[in-house]
Formats: sequence, structure tokens, C-alpha cells
Amino acid sequence: MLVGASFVFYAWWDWRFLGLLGFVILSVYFGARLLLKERRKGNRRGALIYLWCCIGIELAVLGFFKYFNFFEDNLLGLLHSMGVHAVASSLTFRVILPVGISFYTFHAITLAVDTFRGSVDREVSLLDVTLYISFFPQLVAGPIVRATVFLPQLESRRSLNGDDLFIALQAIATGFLYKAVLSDSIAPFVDDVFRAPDQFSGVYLLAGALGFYCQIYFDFNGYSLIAIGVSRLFGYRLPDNFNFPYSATSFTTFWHRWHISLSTWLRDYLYIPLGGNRGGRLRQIRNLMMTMLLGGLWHGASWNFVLWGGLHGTALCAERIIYLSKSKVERPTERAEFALSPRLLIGWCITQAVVFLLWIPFRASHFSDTVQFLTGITSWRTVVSAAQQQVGPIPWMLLLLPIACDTFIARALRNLREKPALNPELAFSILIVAALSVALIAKTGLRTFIYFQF
Amino acid sequence: MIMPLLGSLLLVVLAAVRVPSGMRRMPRWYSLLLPLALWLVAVNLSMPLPKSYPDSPAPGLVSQGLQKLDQRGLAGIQCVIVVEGSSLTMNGLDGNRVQQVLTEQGIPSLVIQLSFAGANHAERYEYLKEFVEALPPNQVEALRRVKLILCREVELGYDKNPLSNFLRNGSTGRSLRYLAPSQLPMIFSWLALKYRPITWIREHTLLTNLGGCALFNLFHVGYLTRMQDISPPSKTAPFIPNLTQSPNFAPKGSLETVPDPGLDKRLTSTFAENLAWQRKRDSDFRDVFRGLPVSECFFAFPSWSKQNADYNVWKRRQPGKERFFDGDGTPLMAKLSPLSLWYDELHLQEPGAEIYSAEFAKYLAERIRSKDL
Repeated sequence: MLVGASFVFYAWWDWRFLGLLGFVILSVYFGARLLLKERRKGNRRGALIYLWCCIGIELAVLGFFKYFNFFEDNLLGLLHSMGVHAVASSLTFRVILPVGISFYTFHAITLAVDTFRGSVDREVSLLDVTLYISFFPQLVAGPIVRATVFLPQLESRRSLNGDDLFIALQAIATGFLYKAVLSDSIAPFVDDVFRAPDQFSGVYLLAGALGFYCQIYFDFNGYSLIAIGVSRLFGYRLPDNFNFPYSATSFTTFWHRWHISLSTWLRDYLYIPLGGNRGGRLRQIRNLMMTMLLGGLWHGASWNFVLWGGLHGTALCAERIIYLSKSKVERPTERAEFALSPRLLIGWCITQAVVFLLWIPFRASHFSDTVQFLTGITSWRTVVSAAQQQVGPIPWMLLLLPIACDTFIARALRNLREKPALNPELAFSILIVAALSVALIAKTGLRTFIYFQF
Repeated sequence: MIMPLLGSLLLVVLAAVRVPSGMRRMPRWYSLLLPLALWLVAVNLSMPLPKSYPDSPAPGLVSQGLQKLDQRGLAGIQCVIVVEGSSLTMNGLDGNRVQQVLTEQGIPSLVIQLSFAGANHAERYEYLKEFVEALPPNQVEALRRVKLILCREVELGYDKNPLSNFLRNGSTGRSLRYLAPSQLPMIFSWLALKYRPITWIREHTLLTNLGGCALFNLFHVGYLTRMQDISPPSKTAPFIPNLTQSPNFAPKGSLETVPDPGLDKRLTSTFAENLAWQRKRDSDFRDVFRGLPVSECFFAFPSWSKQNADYNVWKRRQPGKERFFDGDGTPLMAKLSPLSLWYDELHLQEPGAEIYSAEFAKYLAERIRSKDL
């Protein structure tokens, strides 16, 4: 039933891409079976060939649908710059990006790699593979779930208890609050500022960048929480995707807290196979940079994302170089509580300032817009324009209060070790009323989730 | 200002509330249903739904109608004529012109026009209901002392489907506003009469949208933000003349209507399929006036579309449609035959509207004098 629901869910967007989804499922199903057979025979070389075939197929699918236009545009640009106009225009061919392709191809690769590594050590039925790849809550925008996490859940009997129901409803209500109340309220202001940055004063540009800093977190975390909550209602547990990333006091901890399912995926399926922390410092830096550049490119076929990934990689490398020269004691540690020691506070300021600035190229349509933003903010320019007047006063309260409440108060409440639990009936009643209140203040006409484009 | 505050407060509440970890049993039913029921009662009693859709044309139309009634007053007025309709009326009938001609003919009148482009039966019913409900008691009393006439537009598209254009307008404030609980009996009766199981599957988008909108209204989703976003209510005008012609207008045939025996039998049987729910709708429209004596009159626009023209002829012959104006037996058809008077097959341009309004007013005057209305 869930498989059927997942296919209907996907077909609702565009039924023509069901074939592509089916192809990805079948290719990894047969690939993983053959791979497992070779591995059981002890033929590592044969297994490796099948593994690369699987990875190659999935990357070819991803590459064609997601990156064809990007490479084509760059090639055409190059040909145009060389004066070869006729050839360039005859090559023009547009490919539509199927929604969720980055996520379901990564699921397929995960299954193949986990089977090769032996973490998945059984023949998985076609139905189970289909559900793993196409499970509708995580199909279009994650979280990216490991085969080793999802498949064992299919074998065990699932039942919904009070705890599951509470966590599911809490996650859905919080996700809806993030998306429909906070992200969608901030979005119009952000869109206006990013549409024509040359029309805005420095303070508006700063507020616009701050708006996107909040918007992307609320938007993506909102989707992830709804996906986790809905899955929980069906008895499936998906991993957390966010853990208050804007409280991170270093870049390393930021990436332990932001889009956790992708960052850990990149670590386990790219960074470590590339060599990870083995080898010299230069080798580590190379591995880290490659991982972050590819992680950036995964987000979308644009140089903006590559730049974003590359700059995050640079920040991580710089941090690693600094901390490698210091003793372990001095490194900022992952703490449950946000301790306001001066060192952590400085770490937090630097990390969040860089994360904040790097969201600008991520959101900007063109590199020139990024430059506009940075020069506008640093020169604190004043502009009088119709666009700025139309936007009206900056909604500081909206930009600062919810993110501060989330990062400091909500995080502290969630991480309380000795949590005062309420009477279950009272807790459920409060949860229901809170969820209904969210609906009352939600924005109507929801915008598309930002990560649907990836 | 209130939204970030409430949002932040809810964020903290949602993070703080918790049940004992590892709670195996399910919560007792009342902890889920009781707050839900209390919430529904509280929001539906304290937050009037129509006011929550200020982006709908209804508030603008209703307030203009009330304003006109208030400014002119009913002293010396013999007839109050309420006209309801869609874009055909909005483009083709000028209430002020009708009022002027009637007054010239010795029947001092006041015309309240409630028409808007794309307004289906459900929406038009909502305008009318809101208008009548907004009347102050002294005006209700004053209306008892004059002749009150309700003029209703007849048009095939809307008469086939009372929710026509619903999907086009989607889940906008406009559609949501007229999907109030008072409309549900009419919608259900239409669905029940029209839909066979296979149709339910084919029309799943309409049905899921209807269900979604009903829930949306029931839970007052987005109530506070909507109230903040659009203020004051959007403005509209009940008569907006067309000044140009559609580039796609290329009519075939003539405006002349087919005599009764010439009507296509298959067509008339499809027309008849809709009679059952239309009777219900007719009585709904009469009931809106809550005891005020009201006479009913129907009007249709001549059409270059043969199907529409046939429908008008057929409709005129139905019981209860004795007071029906479509220009038959008047010089209207001949006067409207120049193509330059039309925007497209159904909609008139401004000079056409002028002619139609004058003829319609003459028809009304004649009927009022003969005590037919």
C-alpha cells in the first residue's frame, strides 16, 4: 500500500517520470542482487564491477537530468566565446529536472555500496527496494536514509504507540510552523531584495541576507520534520536532519548539525573512500575540498553552488589546520548546552557570520548579485528607490525573534536532560491546541519547498 | 507584528511539551478529540468566516450595494431591483442605465447590481446572502414598503455547473469564501445528481480541492495572516464595460433564436439533467430574503453560440420562468446584430450593453405596470 501511495504521490507531480523512478529501482535491485551473489562467492573483483556499474548508472541518470543543461550551457558559452555560433545553437536541447532525483539516486547508490560493504547482507526483495527508494515522505527532499537504517525496519513488526504518536504530531506541527508560518512569511521580503539587489540600501541587503539565513533553515528543516513525523505515523523512523545548526560554534559542528543526512552520507560514501583523515595534511585537505565541492554541486547545477561548497570546504580546511596545531582540549567541543564561554562565543560569531555570508551566493541568481550584496553591505550604502519603498520597513522582529527563540530557547528545552514530562493526556491536548494555533497563523497558499529544486 | 510573536511562542511551546519517554499506551480519546472539538467551536463562533477573505470581490460588491441604498434612501422609490450575475452581466448590463430608463418611464427605481466576472452560482448566492444579511433593520423595514425584484442571470455554462470556474480560482480567498457551510447542501445535491462512480474518479481534482477547501474553512487555516495581509477589502465594480473586441471573435450564423420545435432533442435532454439541483438553487435564492416579499425575474443575453441560444429558448419554456427576458419578441436581436457591439460570442461591448440595458428596463417597466412583477 505504501509503495502504491508513493507512486501516486510522485505521479501527482509528473507521471511521466514514474518510468525513471522505476528504472532507478530496477537497476539497483538487479545490481545489488548480482553484487551480493559475487560477494558471497568471494569474488571481490566481480562484486566491485557490479558496484561500479550500479554507481555509474545512477550517476549517469543524475548527471543527465540534473547537469546536462549546466554542462551544455557552459559548453555553448565556450563555443560562443570561440566564435562557433552555428554549432552552438544547433546543440541546444533542454532537459527537465525530475523532482527528488538527487535524493532517490543517492538512496540507490547507498543500497549498492552497503551491499558491497556487507552492511546489507541479504537479498532484498523488489518490493522492499521499491519502498526504500520511493517511500513518499522522503522521496522528494530527503532526509537521505541509509539502507542499513530503513531495511531492518521492514523486517520488524511496526506498531504505533503513544510515544510514536506524540513525536510524530510534534514533528509535523513544528515542521508546519517552520514552513507555513516562519519561512513563508520571510520569503516575500527575501525575494524582493534578492530580485534586484542594486535597488536596495546596505541595511536592506543585510536584512535580506539575514532573511535567507532564516528562511532556508525554516524551510528545509520544516520539510524534514514533516517527513520524519509522517514516517513515524507509519511506524518508520527516519534520522534527524537538523540539530539546531545555528548554534554551532565551529564549521565542523555546523556540518554535524546541518542537513545531517547529506553531510554524513558525503562523509561515509565520499570522504572516507577518498582517504578521509588518512595520509598527510595535504591529502586530508584535498579530500575535504573535493567532498565539499561535490556536495555543493549536488545542490544544483550552478557555479554558485560550487562556490558555496568550495568556500565551506575552505572554512573547514582552515579550521582543521588551526585545530591540528592545538591540543584536543582547546578544540571547541560538541556540548549539549550552549555554554557562553568567551571562546565558544567567538567561535559561534565567526562560524555564523561566515555561514550567513555564504548563503548569499547560494541564493543569488548571478555572481554579480553576490558582489552587489557584499559591496552594498560593507559600504553601508544608501539607496532611494521605488523597489525599496514598495518593500516598506524591514521586518526585524520577524527576522530575529523566531530564529533566536529556536536557536537558544527551543534548543535548550529540547536538550534538557531531566525533562519534566506532563500528564500524557494534558500533553496531547496542549500539542493539539498548539498545532491548530499554527494553522490559524499559517500563511495560505504554501510556496514550494526550496529543496524541491535539488 | 503579532505573527512573529505568536510563531515564536508556539515554537517554544512545541519544544517544551513532552510525554513520559517510552509511553507505550495510546492517549485516551478525549485528550485528542476534546481539544479539537472545543477549538472548532471556539474559532467558528468567534471568527466569522466571510470576513476572513477580504481578497474576494464579495466585500467590495456588498459594501457598494449597501452604500448606494444608504445614500439614495428609499423615499419616493417604487421598486428596488437586485441584479445578480457573472461576467455577462458585469459587461452587458448597466444597472444605472436600467435605473434611469425605469425612472424615465415613470417607475422610480433603485438598482443594486451584484455581478462579477467568473461568478458561479455558489459565489453569486454568497454575494446576495451577505448583502441581505448586512442590511440594517430600518432598511429591511423600508424594503417591505417597496416592490423588491430579484433579477437572476441565466447562462448555460453556470447553469450546468454551479461550481464552474472553481478550479480556475483554486484555493484563493474568493473560492474559499463561497464554500461556506451554507453552500454545502447545494454542492452535495449537485454532486449527488450529476456524479456516477466513474465521474468521481475522473473529477478527483475537483473533489479533493473541495474537500481541502472545506477543511481549510473549518479549521480557519491562515485566518490571522489573511486578516493582516489585505486591508481594506479589495474594490470592484459591478458594471465594467468592454471597450474592445476579442481578437478571437469570429461568429458563425446569426443571433436569431431557433423556434421551439427546432431545438435539438439531445441537447434539451442534457439541459433537463440539471433541473433538479436548479430548483433547489432557485428556492435557496428566494430564501435568502428571509420573509421579505420578493418577485423573481430571469434574464439571459442573446448569444452567437448556438448551444447557449438554444438553452435560452428552452429555459424560457420551463415552469417558473414566465418572467424571462432574452430579447425574444423585441427589437433587441436586430439591434444587437452588428458584430461591433460584441466582445466575443457571449459578452457585449459598451454600446451593446447600453442597448441591452435599455431594452431590459423597458421589459421590466412593462411587467411592473402589468403587475406581473
